[in-house]
This record gives sequence, structure tokens and C-alpha cells, in this order.
Amino acid sequence: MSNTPTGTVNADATQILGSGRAIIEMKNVDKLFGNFQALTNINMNVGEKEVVVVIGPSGSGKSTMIRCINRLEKHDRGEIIVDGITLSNDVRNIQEIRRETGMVFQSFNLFPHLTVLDNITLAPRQVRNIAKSEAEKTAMELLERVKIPEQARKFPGQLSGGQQQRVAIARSLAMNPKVILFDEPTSALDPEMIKEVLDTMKSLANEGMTMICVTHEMGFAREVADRVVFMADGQIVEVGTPEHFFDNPQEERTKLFLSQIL
Amino acid sequence: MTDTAEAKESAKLAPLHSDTTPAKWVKDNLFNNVMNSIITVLLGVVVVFLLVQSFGWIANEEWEIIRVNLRNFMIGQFPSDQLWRLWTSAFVLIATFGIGTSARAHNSHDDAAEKGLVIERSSLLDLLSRFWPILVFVALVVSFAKTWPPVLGVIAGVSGIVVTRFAGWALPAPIRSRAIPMMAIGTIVSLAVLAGTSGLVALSAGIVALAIAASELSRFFEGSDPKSTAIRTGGPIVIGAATLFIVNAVGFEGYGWEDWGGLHLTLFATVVGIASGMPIGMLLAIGRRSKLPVIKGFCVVFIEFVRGVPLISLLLFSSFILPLLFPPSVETPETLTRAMIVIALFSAAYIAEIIRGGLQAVPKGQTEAAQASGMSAAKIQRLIVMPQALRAVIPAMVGQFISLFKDTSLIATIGVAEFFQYVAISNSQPAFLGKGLQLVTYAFVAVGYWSFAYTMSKESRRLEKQLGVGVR
Amino acid sequence: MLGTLIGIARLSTNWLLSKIATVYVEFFRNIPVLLVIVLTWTIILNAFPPVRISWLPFGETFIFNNLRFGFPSIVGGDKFGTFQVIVLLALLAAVAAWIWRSRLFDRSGTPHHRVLYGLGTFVAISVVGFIALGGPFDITTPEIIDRVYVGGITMIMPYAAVMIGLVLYTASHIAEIVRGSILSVDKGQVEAGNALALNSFQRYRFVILPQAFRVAFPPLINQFLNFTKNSSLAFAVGFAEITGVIQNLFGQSRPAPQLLLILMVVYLVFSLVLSAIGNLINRRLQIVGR
Ligand SMILES: Nc1ncnc2c1ncn2[C@@H]1O[C@H](COP(=O)(O)OP(=O)(O)OP(=O)(O)O)[C@@H](O)[C@H]1O
Ligand SMILES: [Mg+2]
Repeated sequence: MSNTPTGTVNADATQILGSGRAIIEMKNVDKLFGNFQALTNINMNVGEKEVVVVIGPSGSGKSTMIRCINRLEKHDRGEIIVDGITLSNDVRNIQEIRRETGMVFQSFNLFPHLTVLDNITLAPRQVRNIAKSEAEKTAMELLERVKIPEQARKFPGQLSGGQQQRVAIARSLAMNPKVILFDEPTSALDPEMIKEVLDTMKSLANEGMTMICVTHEMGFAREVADRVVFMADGQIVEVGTPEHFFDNPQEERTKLFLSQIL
Repeated sequence: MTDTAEAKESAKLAPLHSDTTPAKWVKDNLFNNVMNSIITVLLGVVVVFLLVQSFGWIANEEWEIIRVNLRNFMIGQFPSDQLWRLWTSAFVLIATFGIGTSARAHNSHDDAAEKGLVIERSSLLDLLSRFWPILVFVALVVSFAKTWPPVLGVIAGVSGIVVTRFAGWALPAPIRSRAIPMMAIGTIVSLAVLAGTSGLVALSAGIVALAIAASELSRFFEGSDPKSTAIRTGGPIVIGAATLFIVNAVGFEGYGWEDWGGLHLTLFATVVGIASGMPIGMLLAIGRRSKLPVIKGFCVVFIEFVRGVPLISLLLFSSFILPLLFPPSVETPETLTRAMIVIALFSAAYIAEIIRGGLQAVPKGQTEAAQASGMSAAKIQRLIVMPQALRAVIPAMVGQFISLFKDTSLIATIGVAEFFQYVAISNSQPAFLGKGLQLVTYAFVAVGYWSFAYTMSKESRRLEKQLGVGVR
Repeated sequence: MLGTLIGIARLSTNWLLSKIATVYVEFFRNIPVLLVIVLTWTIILNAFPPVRISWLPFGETFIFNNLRFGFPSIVGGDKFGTFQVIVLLALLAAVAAWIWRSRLFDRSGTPHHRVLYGLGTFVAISVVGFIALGGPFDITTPEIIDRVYVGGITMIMPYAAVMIGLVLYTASHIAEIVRGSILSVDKGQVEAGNALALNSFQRYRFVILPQAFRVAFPPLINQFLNFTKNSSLAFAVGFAEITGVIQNLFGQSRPAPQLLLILMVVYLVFSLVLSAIGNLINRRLQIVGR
């Protein structure tokens, strides 16, 4: 597994576009599930206001990689630095990083027993100690931003998938994070709903939010991404701007993958 | 302390590396933080203390009371010259179930292979790991035996299981597919050996014959012409009735179950309770969904009444009030018979609710699809809804079986000499009266109940997993 | 309560703790409740001394023997009424403190610590009241004088045995329910809580427990009903006599059938009412979906 057939392994993903500073730095990160090596020697930096799209075949470790960033999975070797904080076993340290990173899941993971509004205000009130009225005001603004203010008093079970996912985005925005991690946010949705969620993500990107998106939406990658990262077998195989990546891929592995999905 | 669930979850996801040393294991699992270290030390002291105490107790107590009463505990007052019945019936059961279960295992193994799945054939070692509590109990019993026959019997029984498992596996496919009828026949035979061929045994033989005939005849007469239809419907009834009369006419004398006792009776009462509670419960469940207010009302009242009062009050009712209600001309059934009827009705009420839950779980689309294909209401119930519902409720049913097994201990309160009652009986024997040996006997009885109930609940969890996998 | 604790203990990361909890649960779940009760009874009978040489721990403030347990209790003095009023006021003040802290939290987001504030208010006012009134009540300890128990609260042993036995038994079932319900909460919920930087207490309090409770509620009601039904086994402690007792009653003017019927009706009404209430609450609790 550690030697791929062709080309360079672990293409350089540390080169940030533009002049911003790095918000996320991953250095030589390895992750094992028992004896199975899910991530091998991951090196990646993500700069301020940058949108990085991660693609790759199923089981290539995309989810695992971004879940390591906010410690939903514990990496085994290497270093992860988020906004200057080095991820360690210290609980306070982890909490600090989690406060700065939002996450949007494939299966939404809204809290079914709380209203939309309570879903969004829970963390700001409990973690950031923000007053209720203020938290609710912010929440309503966020709901405006994702275009569903009229759903505030409903429960997640009463919303469509696309609406739920937009609530989930609003929920992660409510913590005012430095970066948002998206793990296939549209994979559980019907086509019309995909569009509304992607639109929301696009406007976020335009507003300058730093984002890492795992997605199979190639159109989105082409349009929005600053850089595209291709992963296979737990390694970063190729990195590049969307134009470079889609029109002129270098690695065999990438070509194969693109030919299968395009 | 509060991050437990999830910490455990992650512990499961990231299994320990194979190179963990015992020292590391201890550190990770016992002393991973201050709180846990304190807990570990405190609990460790308590556990060691309890272990030492109970070992001392086990070594010091007089186990003679069990030794003397072992036979009582197992089979009650079953007379010596009738013992052959017990052994024969036990061996018949072991043989048919050994063959039957392994035949079924072979069938599902083949099924799975056909679908391209690989299922490990369960080895004897698996069986051992699944049924160890019962084996431990049997070993305990044997170790208390004073004479050789029971020891030999148990050894024969265990080796019988091994032999018949292999035999069942080796049977040809057509016979294997009839494993369930075979087990049913075996059960009837073993029952007949014990209780003779008249009355209830004949009735159950008739019912079993009816069911077998129905399934066999529908295999051979599949056509929809009048003749086949007539054979399919009339044949089983004729055969069932004939079997009933023939078996009844054999006139083989049994040893009535009024005089059974001990663990044997406990197990028997449980099995009878479930076996007879099942059809009644099914009827009640269907009745509860009926559109006729009378039927529905009756079923609801019956179910809610039985479930609303404690079993013990029903038993007391059957034992003390029911006899008063019988007119003097009619002979009142024996206490045990009445208790058994109560148990059957009691479990029927609970089973009815379980089945109702299962019926509700069957999607409405199923009924609608069946209606669309023009099936009659009865057929829809029998062929579409019931099978799915029953399949969904198997785990709950096993749960009911376990709790009934434990609840049968209550018939001791109306003076039936089952397993639990022998604690009182043996402690009131002149030799042991006032010696304070209750704890010894309780411990023994507890191990007995526990070994069976625990094994069953483990099995039901296994079953649940299997069914879960099968459904998806 | 015991059940909940044990249920959580089974999920503990501490291997020893979770194993012990498992052994406890698997033991009590798999033997008949009747056996649990009589076992408790026998153990108490054997473990505690007879009346003559009763065990009197803590400077004779308690009495333990195999017939009765005695505990100290409170006897009001002259100003006991006033003190009761003060305690009531303290309670009100505690509620007020609670509301104040919640409001403050809503308004400004300052951590509320309302449990702490509420308890503190209550204890402070009560203690002040107690001192101000110069000790308005006495504590009486139970004593045996000429075989009669004087003072304190006493509890006859069979009752204690039934209670302890039933609690042990029911706790093992509740532990399973609690464990199952916590495990039934989707893993994604925990992850979402984590991703939002909730700490482990907040995660339990706001995410896991509310959902687990909804799952656990119906079976818990069921357990509660079982508990009451099983309490009918109180009869059965020394069950050798019960048949005798009722038979005796039969022999006399036979009030027993009526008694039994009344008993059944009481249980029936009780369980019907309870399960009706349970259903109602359960419907309220249901998570709203489409
Ligand atoms: N909790 C786990 N325990 C063991 N193995 C795991 C676990 N989670 C993931 N894996 C393994 O790690 C590898 C990478 O998984 P990951 O979920 O990161 O893939 P992915 O690229 O996100 O795939 P997909 O596109 O299907 O979501 C897979 O082979 C998977 O089987
Ligand atoms: Mg994934």
C-alpha cells in the first residue's frame, strides 16, 4: 500500500494559494484503524479564505482526514495545527479547536428533540455564553442567510433534507468558526435539494469563509474550489487548481478516477 | 465519568494493537484517569473481599441437603419404577432435537451458500460457548449425584447430542427440510412416553398431524382443480382426526403430570405455557383488531385484565376461588391443571400484545398489495401478515419465554412442588429442619434458574442479530 | 436511580466497574423475582443478629436485628411549626434564586450554576433559621424497652426485605433499559455535539439524555408497573404461610375471595391508570417528525 504504482506520492498540498496565512496545517499525519492504515503521511495546509475540495474514490480516507482535524478521529502520528493551536490529547485544547471549526455532516445530525432555533443557539449559549436573545437574533440572521427563516420554530423531522442541511450549515456558522468542514453534505439529498445546499455553500465561499469540502459534486469543485485535492488509498495523490486538475491531470490514478465519474 | 459511552465507543472502533502488554492493558482499562483509578482500587477491595467470603462460605456449608434432595429438586416425587419413562423421553428429545437442529443448520448453511454468503458451520466448540451455563449446571448436578445411573445418563445424553448433531448434518436434503415436523413428532413421542397416549397428548398429536399433513399434502397436490383443493383442505382434517383417535386408542398408560415435580415440572410448565399460549395469543391479537365490537371488546378486556393484575393473584384465584365456582357434580381439575391453565392464559395475554406489536410493524402496503392481487381476508392474514409479524416478534417472544420460565416459580405459592418449592420442602425435612440451610438451597436453585435463563437470553440476542442481518 | 447508575456504569471505560455492573445485571435479570426476595430475606435473617443482641451501630442511633430495623427520626419541639414555615420560605427563596439565575443566563449568557445557587440559598436560610430558633427539633433514636420499640422510625424486616429485593431486581432491569437507550442514540448525534465543542457534561445533558429518555420512557413505565405488581409478592415472603393464611380465612367466614378480588381490582385500576398516563406523556414526548 505504501508504494503506489505511478508518479509521485503525496503530492505537495502545503502550498497555499494567495498570500493568506495557514489556518490548518497537517504534517506527516498517519491514522490507523487497528492494523489498517487509513491515512498515510498526509501533508496539507489550508490558507485563510481558501476553499479546498477533497475528492477521491470511496474508502480513500477523505472523511477520516477531515474528521482528524476536529478530533472526531484521533490521528496516530504527525501534527495537526488549527489556527495556531496544536492538536493534542488535552481536552481543553481539543475544545478550543472545535470552537474554531464547524462541521457539516452527510447525515445532517441535527438534534431531533430541539427546534431549529434551539439547534442553532444551543452551542453559542452553552459554549460561548452568549445571551439568549442575542443568540436567537444571530440565529435568525443565519436562517435568513440560508433562506429558511420561516422554519425557525419547527423540528428537524418536519423539514425536507435540503432544509435540514441548510439548518446544519447555519448551526455550524452560529459558532462563528474560522473554518468549516463539509463531509459530503449533499450525498443524502435529492437533486433539487442538492442545488439549494450547493448555492448556500457557494455564497459562503464568496463571503470569504475558509472551507474544506469532501464532495462528489464536480461542478461545484470546478466553480468554487481554489484547490482540488485528490486522495486514494489514504494518500494525497494529486493537488491543483480546478483547471489544472480537471483538464490536465498528471497522475494515472487521477485520470482513471476522472474518467470513471465524468 | 460522563464521557463513558462515547469513550467506550471509540475504544471499540480502535481495537487494541496486538502488541499491547498486560501492563498497558491494565493502565488503559483500569487506571486511565484519576477517577477511574480510585474506582478501581475501591471496587477491587470489595470484590476480593466478597470472593474470599463466598469461597469460605462454599467450603464451609453443608451441601448434604442438596445431595439428599437432588432427585427431588430435579424431578420431584417421580417414583423409581417409573424413571425409565423420564430417561426414554429425555433421550427421544435429545435425539430428535440434536438431529433436527443440525439438519436445519445444514439447510440454512446451504441456503447461504446458494446466495453466495459464507457462514461458518457452527462447531461443537461454538455450541459449548453458547450453552456453557447449562453445562455448568448439569455438571454441578452430576457432582451432587450419589449413585451412578444419573451420571451415566448425563454422559450418554451429552454424547447423544454430539452423535445426533453429526447424524442430522449427514441426512439427505428432503429429510432435512422436514426437520421441524420431525422435532414436533419427537416432542409428542417423548411426551407420550411420560404421560401416556390419552387426553391432551392425543389432542396435541392430532394437531401436529394436521399441521404436517397440511404442509405435505399441499406439496403434492398443488393444482387448483376441485379434487386437489378437496384433498388439500379435507385431507389434513381427516388425518388429524384419525391420528387423534388412533393415538387415543393405543391406550398406553402414562404417569400423570399431576405428580410431577422439581425442575422437570418447571421446564414443562414453561414449555406448555408458551406452546398453548401461542395459538390463544394469536387469536386474541387478531380479535383485538377485529371490527366486531363484541369480539374486540372481549379481547381487549381479557388482555388488559390479565396484564393488569399480578400473576400471583390469578394463581390464588385459580387455587382458592375457582373450586368454589365449580358445581359439585363436576369434578374439579387438580391444582396443577388449574395453575397450568392460568399460566397458559396469562402468557396468551402477553403474547397477544407482542403479536399485536408485530402486526402493527407490518407495513400497510403489504396488505394492500395482497388485496390488490385478490386474496381473501383470511388468506392475507395467514399467508402475508402473520408470517412477517411472527418473524418480527421472535426476540420478544423469547423474552416472554424467559420471563415465564422465571414466573413459574410462583406456582410454588399455591403449593405445587416445582423446582423452587423444594427449597421449602427440603428445609422442612426432619434431617434439615432448623439447620438454617435455606441459603444453600437458594444458591443451588438460583444457579439452576440462572443457567437456563441466561443461556436463553444470550441465545435470543444472537437470534436478534441474525434476524437483523437477514432482514437487510 | 440505582438502575440508572448501574446502566451508566456498564458503559464505563473502567473495565472492572463495567464488568461488575454486567455481572450484577446478568445475575438479577435471570433469576425469578420471588427468589430474589426470599434470598434477601434469608440473607437478612442470617446476617443480622436476633433481637436480644441487636446490632446498634453509630452509638446506638440505629437498631438492626433480624426482625426490625430502627432509624433515628425527627420530633418537633415548640417552635417546630415556625421552623417548617421557614423551611418552606427557604424553598421558595431557592426557587426564586433558580429563576433569577436562569433569567440572567438568558439575558447575558453568564453561566447560571442554578443548582448551586438554589441549593445554597435553601441550605443557608434553613441553617440560619435552625440556629435562630435554637434547635426547633430533636432527633429521637429508637430503643427497645421491654421488647417494645420506642422512638425513631422502625421498619419490620419482611417489608424491608421485599423492598430491598425488589429494588435490586428492578434495578437490574432498569439498568438494561438505560444502557440500551443510551446506546440507541445515533453516533452522529454525539459527533455533532463534539463538533460544536460541547463538553461531555453538556453533551449528555442536552443531546444524549433527552433522546435516550424518550426511548427509555415506555419500558420504564412498564418496569414501574411490574414493580407494583411484584410488590404483591410481599405476601410471599415466608410463602409457606400464605397458603395457610388464606386457607385459614377460608375456614372461618371466608372473606378471602372478596379480599382477593378487591386486590385484583386495585391492581387493575392502578395499572390501567398508570399506563394511560404513561401513554399520554409518551405522546407528548414523541419527537416531531413528518
Ligand atoms: N471507524 C472505523 N473503523 C475501522 N475502519 C474504518 C473506520 N472508519 C473508516 N474506516 C476505514 O477507513 C477507510 C477510509 O474511510 P473514509 O470514511 O475516510 O473513506 P471516504 O473516503 O470518506 O469514503 P466515502 O466516499 O465512501 O465516504 C475505509 O477503508 C474504511 O473502511
Ligand atoms: Mg466519507
